[in-house]
Amino acid sequence: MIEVNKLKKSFGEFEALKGVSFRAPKGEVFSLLGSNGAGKTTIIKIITSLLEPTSGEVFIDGLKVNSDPQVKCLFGYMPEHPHLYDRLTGREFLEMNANLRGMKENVIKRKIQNFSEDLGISGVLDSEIGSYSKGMKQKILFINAVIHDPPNLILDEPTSGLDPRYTRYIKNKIQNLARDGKTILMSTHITSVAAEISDNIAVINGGQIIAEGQPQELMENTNKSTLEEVFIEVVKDG
Amino acid sequence: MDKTVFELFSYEIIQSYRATKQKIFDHPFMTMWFLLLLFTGFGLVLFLMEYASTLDELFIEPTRGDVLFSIFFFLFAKTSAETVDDTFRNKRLKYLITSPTTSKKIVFSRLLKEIWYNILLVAVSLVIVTLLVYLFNINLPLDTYFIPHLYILILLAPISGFFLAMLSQLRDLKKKLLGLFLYGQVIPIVFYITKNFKGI
Repeated sequence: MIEVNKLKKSFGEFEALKGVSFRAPKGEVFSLLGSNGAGKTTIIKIITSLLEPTSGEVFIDGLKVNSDPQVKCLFGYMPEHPHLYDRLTGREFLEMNANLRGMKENVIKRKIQNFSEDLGISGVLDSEIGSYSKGMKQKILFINAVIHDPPNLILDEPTSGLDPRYTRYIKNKIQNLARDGKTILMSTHITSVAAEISDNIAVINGGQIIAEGQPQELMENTNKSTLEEVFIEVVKDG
Repeated sequence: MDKTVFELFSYEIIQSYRATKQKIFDHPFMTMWFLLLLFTGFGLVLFLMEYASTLDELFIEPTRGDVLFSIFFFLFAKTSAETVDDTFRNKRLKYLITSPTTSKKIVFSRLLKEIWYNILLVAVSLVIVTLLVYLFNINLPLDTYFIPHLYILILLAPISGFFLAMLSQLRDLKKKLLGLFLYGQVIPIVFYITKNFKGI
């Protein structure tokens, strides 16, 4: 479970987050939906301890982020922008990160093989990452986030750059992981992805949550038939 | 030091080695031009040093300490600039920071990388100097203490440069200024010691 309490973040004079609070429960897909620059990635960077908040707290499975080092064992993270080690091969990159998480060598090898076959990248796994397309890099990042079987997954725009076939694969995988009891926190600006796989959605605009609830609930409350219309409506009002 | 530190260090070295190899293959003429400039530059410095040592009166008298201090200062400044760029502004580090590895291990692996690069740079420079000295029979005015002192400085310069870069990244302005002021004393101390090196 991921719990965010009154999170604020300022960059100089600019207030990127204005007291955001939400709770992503175990076994659910919780989506942060917002346009570019709304504050989604800032929230995710604070949860993954890449940024320190100006104020507020984040708890993952009851452990406070930035004060308990064990908290980093509890999540897998997929960033929006890859910035990968472009001269390492896909396999080397995944092995490096899995080693950092203390996984056994035979387990690492087996999992890399299984995931890469599922995602159709086993043939390029020994090529340098610099030669990969954006979609291939996204797949490497996805494997990297789930390889150590963490109880919480934090995914920043997980379907960005993927073709329809693998977008479908990732969406199914996310739903299956949630069914297995994992907490999924996902940021996206694609309303159809959020509507399809989320149990709960928080719409973010200007650094604050302006609407929150189940997709159906949001549509009923605003008398709209699609999440896209809901988004446009609440962002306009917000 | 922990196994993780060496693992991170080895992946960084693989990444840099392959990137350099690729650059050489992509730009062979630039590489040859660079090597030519490097040999010419070293050659000029060596000939100048030999020539200066034959003159009776000079308005400055460069000593072994001056040469060592110049090398220290160059490696120190190079490491500081590289550390800021390669460690504190490196977006690839997000994978390490979000892993259960401690910041201390990440920092040590980066420091090892800097030390390794400096050793490599000085080793290549020494090979070039040795080649030039033998090829052109240059008589260098350096004594036998030069090399052992150089080894010490190769280690001290990247460590000092790395910590200076770390201090420069402190967010608290007061701590940063105090740290930089205190650390600023390292340069005159090294200058004094190198000036007064009498041998080990």
